[in-house]
Amino acid sequence: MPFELSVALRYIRSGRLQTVLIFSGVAVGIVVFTFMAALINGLAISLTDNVIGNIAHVRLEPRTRPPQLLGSRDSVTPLVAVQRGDEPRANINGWRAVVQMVEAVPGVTRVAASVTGSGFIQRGERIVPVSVTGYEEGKLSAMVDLAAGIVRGTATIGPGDVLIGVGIAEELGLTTGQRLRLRSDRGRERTLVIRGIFDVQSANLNDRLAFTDLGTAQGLFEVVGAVTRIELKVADIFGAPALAERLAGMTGLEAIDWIAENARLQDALTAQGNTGDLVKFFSVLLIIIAVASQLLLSVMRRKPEIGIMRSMGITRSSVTWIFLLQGLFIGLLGSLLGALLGYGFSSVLAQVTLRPDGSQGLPIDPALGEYGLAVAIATVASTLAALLPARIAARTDPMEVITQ
Amino acid sequence: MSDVVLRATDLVKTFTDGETETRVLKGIDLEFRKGEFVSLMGPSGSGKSTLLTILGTLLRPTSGEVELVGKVLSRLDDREVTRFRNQHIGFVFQFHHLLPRLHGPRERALSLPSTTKG
Repeated sequence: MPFELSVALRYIRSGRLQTVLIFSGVAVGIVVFTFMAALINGLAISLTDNVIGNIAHVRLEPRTRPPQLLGSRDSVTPLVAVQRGDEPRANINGWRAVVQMVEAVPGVTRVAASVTGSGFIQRGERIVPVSVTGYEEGKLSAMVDLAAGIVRGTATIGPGDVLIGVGIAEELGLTTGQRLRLRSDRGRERTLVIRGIFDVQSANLNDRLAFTDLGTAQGLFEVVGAVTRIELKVADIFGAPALAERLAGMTGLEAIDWIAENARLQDALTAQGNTGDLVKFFSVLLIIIAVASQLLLSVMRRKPEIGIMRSMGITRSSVTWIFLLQGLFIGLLGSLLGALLGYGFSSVLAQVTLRPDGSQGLPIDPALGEYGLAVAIATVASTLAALLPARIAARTDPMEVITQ
Repeated sequence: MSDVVLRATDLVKTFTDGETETRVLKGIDLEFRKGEFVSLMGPSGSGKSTLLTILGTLLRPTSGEVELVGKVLSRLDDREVTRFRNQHIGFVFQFHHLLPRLHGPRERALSLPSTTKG
């Protein structure tokens, strides 16, 4: 074993209480680091899942074209007021071909054509405004994760069926099996059978969402034979903007990705990530301070020994290495211990905060603790923290010892 | 003359403390030959330890030269002097300067040439 390594290990072993304390300090720092990583990453996934679980990752819609002026001259600035309501509703007429084209694009996992619009459900004197979406048969579950949120009835619908949010059901005193009358903003009415009532953990959505089959929606919103949008789920959710751009080029339709529509979520995730990084930075900083101060004390206490070694011909670089190796071992072993404890701590916390229904109370994911990164950063940081004590040790004048 | 292992020429050592200068060695010339047994005697404060630490390469003289086994020490840099010390000089300390972290054999190994790589 090289001399420097041998002395470094002996110094670590001989410290006993100090060694235990410094290893504990590094380990605790890494527990904080990995716990924050597991919590922030788990929270990001949980938030993202909650947001995108029930929405399309990319939506294809017809482009809205502003009216063109006929015979306008370049030298004249036209002043035109366009009343949007007067425009005909933009539909996708050749939607089956578009769906086939989009389904063949790599990275697209599910595709569903739909018709959406606004309407009202009336019961007696009470009227509830609703947002209605009609999917092709069997495609509702591909786009909206309703199965877990069904509180009554079923998530499967056929022609003439409707699923309503629990908020609407409570407002109007409706239950499954009953019929309701739905009137669209186009003035069309349909009588539909309630097949299921869902709770998507959002009062806002529970109070206004209703799902029907495609044919019913086409009739309600006067888009017979066409659809108003094509919805997609993609494999790489964070690659959705790039895929949306590609799909827009391919289809000539407007492609809207979930990230563009949820800028606030992105801001929240970024802010959350930055907060986590700040906590992780301070935990690493504490490790650096702890290791540096511990090794500085060690250098002061061992000045006579270092002086003797220098007088016996041990070079300054050898002395430097003795302390750098101590920093390296303290960082490596302490962080490995911390990573192990961090994983255990996160796992236990994830278990004890489970709700009775099996959902997580604390959205912590022990698998996302960034353990490798934590060990690497702590080892490098601890070794760098040993630089100052090592330089002081290397500058020890052997004469100080001889003359004492 | 080839059996001279140590030669000091006009060795001067001055210690400075603020504005006070103390000249401890004032032009020492000496030669030690191979196999010679030399005792250095003198009253306390006469400069014995200073001379020995200079001859032992732990201290550099203010002026003058030391030639040890054919090497002129003033021409060596710190790294070369350390290596030279490790390979050619053994110390018997005035007090028990042992290394508490090292066992006897490991401590003896410090003086082996292989321990100074850097």
